[in-house]
Formats: sequence, structure tokens, C-alpha cells
Amino acid sequence: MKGRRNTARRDTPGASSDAMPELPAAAADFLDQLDADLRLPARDSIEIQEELTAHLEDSIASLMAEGLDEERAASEAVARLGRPEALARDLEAARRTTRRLFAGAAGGVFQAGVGALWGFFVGYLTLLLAVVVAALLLTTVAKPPVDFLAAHLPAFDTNSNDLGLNAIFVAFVLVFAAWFGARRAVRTTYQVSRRDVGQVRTAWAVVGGIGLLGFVLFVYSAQQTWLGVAAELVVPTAFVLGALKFDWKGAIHLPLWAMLSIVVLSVVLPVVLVIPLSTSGGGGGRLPEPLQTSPSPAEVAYDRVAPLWGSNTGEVLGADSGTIEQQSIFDMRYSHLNGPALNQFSNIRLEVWHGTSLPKAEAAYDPELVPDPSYGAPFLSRSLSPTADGALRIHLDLSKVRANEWVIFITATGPDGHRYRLNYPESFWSTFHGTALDWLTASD
Amino acid sequence: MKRPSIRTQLLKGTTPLLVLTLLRDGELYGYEIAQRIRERSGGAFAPSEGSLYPTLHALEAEGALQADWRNSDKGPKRRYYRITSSGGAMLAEHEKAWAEFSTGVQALVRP
Repeated sequence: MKGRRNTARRDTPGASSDAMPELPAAAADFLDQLDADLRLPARDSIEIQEELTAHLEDSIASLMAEGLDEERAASEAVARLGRPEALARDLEAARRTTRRLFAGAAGGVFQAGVGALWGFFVGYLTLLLAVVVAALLLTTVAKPPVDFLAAHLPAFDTNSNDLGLNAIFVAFVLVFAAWFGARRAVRTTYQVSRRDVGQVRTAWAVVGGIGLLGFVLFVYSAQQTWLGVAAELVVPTAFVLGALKFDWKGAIHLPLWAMLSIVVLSVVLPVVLVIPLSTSGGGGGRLPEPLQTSPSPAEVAYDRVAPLWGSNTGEVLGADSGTIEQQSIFDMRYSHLNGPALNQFSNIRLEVWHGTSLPKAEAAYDPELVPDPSYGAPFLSRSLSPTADGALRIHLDLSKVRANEWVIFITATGPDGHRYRLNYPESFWSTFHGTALDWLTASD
Repeated sequence: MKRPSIRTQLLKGTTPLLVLTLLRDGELYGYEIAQRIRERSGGAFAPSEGSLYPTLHALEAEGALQADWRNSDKGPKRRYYRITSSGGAMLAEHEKAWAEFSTGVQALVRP
């Protein structure tokens, strides 16, 4: 009885385009069982099939020449090769050398980089396309609902929104990069090392996931917001899913729609979840409750900090120089202008309060920021000592504080023993700069 | 489970030596190697064909052998193996180890 060989012809070193020879049933069944048991890349499996097919042909022909009929010759030839599962196991072990493991790991790292680059471009082009489509929709059919939402959604601070939107765009592109990189890494390591694909997938998911998570948490330092941190944390997730998604015969994996849903949700959910967080307190998002409806200047009067020193000291201090690094480290020098000498005052202190924006129409004050009424104390309070030339030098590092709007006061105890404010307040907008872990462990 | 014969067990460890020795004289494909071992041992022993191919693939993975597909004079393509310089060095090691081993065993079983 003749058996059929169903091995697909592929581009292997030995594979010819010839049709597979028709072997006796016993030999064909043996090869089919071997193929099912082999857990090697397709290229290897096909090569082995080719080699053993040729072997069985020779062996059967030889045994038939010795007088056996075809069926008995096939059974004997198969018996000489042993059990297919044992042969498959031994062939796998023979091809899984330590050298190939290291080569596979190194190749996987390299291909992860190549895949990330490729994914970056794919993601970038996809993003551009999405932006174009979104722009078209927003200006046509989607305009009425968007206008409705814009009128009813809470207002956001423009600066924070820009950073958040940028973070989402960057995360979108990086998700592609991580996904493509993971898949190329798994494929290369699997094909070169010949290790079990499940082990390779798991190893890359664990190593890559932990590595990227560590990079995001401890190494990658940038301007951060809640949205940005959420976006960064999506990258390891995308890498893990990309590694686990790698296709292989018999591998258990989620369907593509499920994987894409997880990636989308892992982007959307953190964003949705962190929006309330990012707008809480004095963080610069939605205005605090007392300021929801046109606040009166009295509600945010600076005198809640300390009354301003008498009129003759209205221009006591003014910033005359300063440098800004990373938009969050400030070096300032306040010089004494036309007020009383600083030596009239004692216990001079710098106070940094969380600030919040006044609606422009209500902003009777300069600067644009006023102390946030939801905070009862300054965020930072520090003693200041005048320099020899009667100035005050101030170095402020606000790069590790989540909230990003500030009002700076300089207060002192006056000659009459009362506490006074010595300056018109200075407004600052700073951005958090650090790693995701810095952000997560920082204070508001 | 069927217990492997003593001959099979003895042969298992020496298959790389036998394969490398044969390939020192020229390139061969798998079935030919099995046949040559059978012939040159006077039919005294033949490696299990099930262990021959894992041995060939392991030696190839270690760089001791190189393999490529070529047409044979008997019909379809065959995978021919040839020994490399690294395989030559490995063969020398195997021969030395075998000489020491067989001498020791001889001394024990036939004092």
C-alpha cells in the first residue's frame, strides 16, 4: 500500500521542486509522525524530512534487493530508525548546541533592534495616516459632536495637554517598535538556536519585558506627565505581547484581534485612568473647585500668604537675572531696588506655592498665576540670606515635583515684628524631568 | 520498555568516532555511512540508524562536519557530509581516547 507524503516543499538547501516520492504507507506514516513530533524551525524539519526520505528510499530498495517485498522492506527500514518520537527528541537535542544558543541570543538582540527600527517607521507612517484621517473627520462629519464635547469637557492646562498628547503619539509609535522588535527577536533566536519556541517566546517576553520596564522606570529620563508615564509603561507591554504572539505550529496564542485589543486597551486604559489623577489637587489640570466659577481676586489674594510691606517697598525686590535648565531648574538673583535695605528684616524666607491660573478676564493681577487655594501651605519654604551686595540668590530645582505651576514669594519678619511679603509674586511653569519611577514616587 | 542490547550500548558512545573515521576518507551521505560501517566491520555491528542521524547533526552543529545537498548517482538529492579541520582534530581526540579506553578495558577483562 502506498502512503502519501504531505510535507510542503519549501526553499531548503536540499529541497527540490520535484514532487515528493510516494513511499510505502509504513514509511510515510513514520515521516508524518516524525514531522509532528519535531519541535524545530520549519527549515530544519523539512531538511530532516528530505534526508530521511532519501534514507528510507535507499534502505527499502536495498532490503527489497535482498528479497523482501515492499511492505516488509518498508517496515524493516522504519524499524531500523527506531521510534519517531525518540528520533525527533534526539535530532532536536543534536541541533540545540550551546554555541547556537548564544548565536541565537545575539542574533535576537540584533534583530530586536532592526525590528524596532522597522516598527518605528511603520508606526510613524500609521500615525501620520491616522492624523490625516482624523483631521479630515474632525473638520467634516465629526465636527458637531467634537464641538459638543469641547464645550462640555473640563478645561485642561494647555502645557500639560501638549505633553500628554505628545506622549500618546510617541507611545503609539513605540508600541509598533516594541511589537516588531519582539517578534523579530523571537523568530531569530528560535531559528538559530533551535530551542523550543515556547521557551524562546517566554524567555524574550520575560527578559525583554523586564529589561524594557527597567529601562523605562530607572534609565529613560524625560519630561513627564501622568499621560507620559502611562505611555512609557505601555512599551514593555507591547514587547511582551509581541513576543508571545509569535506564530508557530501548534503554539497556543490569542487571535490577532484579541492581541490588538489588549494593546489598544493598555494605551487607552492608563490614559483614561490617569486623567482624573493628573487633574487632582494643584496639578495644573482642571481648575480646583473654588475656582470653577469666576473667582474674585480676593479669594486668591496674596495677602493670604502675607501682607505686602508698605508702599515704599513696593519694588523691594525684582529678579534681574536667571537661567533655566530643562525648564525646571531655576537660578535667580533678586536685587534690592528702591526699598528699604534687607537688613531691616529678619528671618527672610523663600516660599513656593502651588499656583493656578486665573481666567484671563478675572486676572487683575500680574502674574497670571495665583496661589492655589486648595493648598494651605507653601510647597517649599527655605531660609534666605542676603549676599554682600544686598541681593538674594535663589536656586530652585522643581524637576522632581509633579505639579508644574508655581508662585514664588519672599517673606520676612518686619521691624514691627509682623510677617510681610517683600515681593510681587513671580509665576513659574516647570515641567517634571526624570524617569517614570521618579514620577511615580514624587510628591505633588 | 525494551532494554537496549549490550552491543547497542557499546556502539552508542563510539558512533562519532566511527562516523569521523569513515568521513576522513571522503564524503558520504547518511545511508552510505551506515552501510560502510556495516561492511567494514564485516557485519559485526552497525549503528542504529536512529542514532546515526542525531550524531551526524550534532557533529555538524559542533563544526566537525559540513553538509550540503547534491545529486547522487542513485537518483534524488542526498545530503553529503564531509569532515572539517575541526572534525579532524576531534577525530584525533576520539582515537586517542578510544585507544586508552580499549587498552584499559582489555587489561581488565583479559588480564
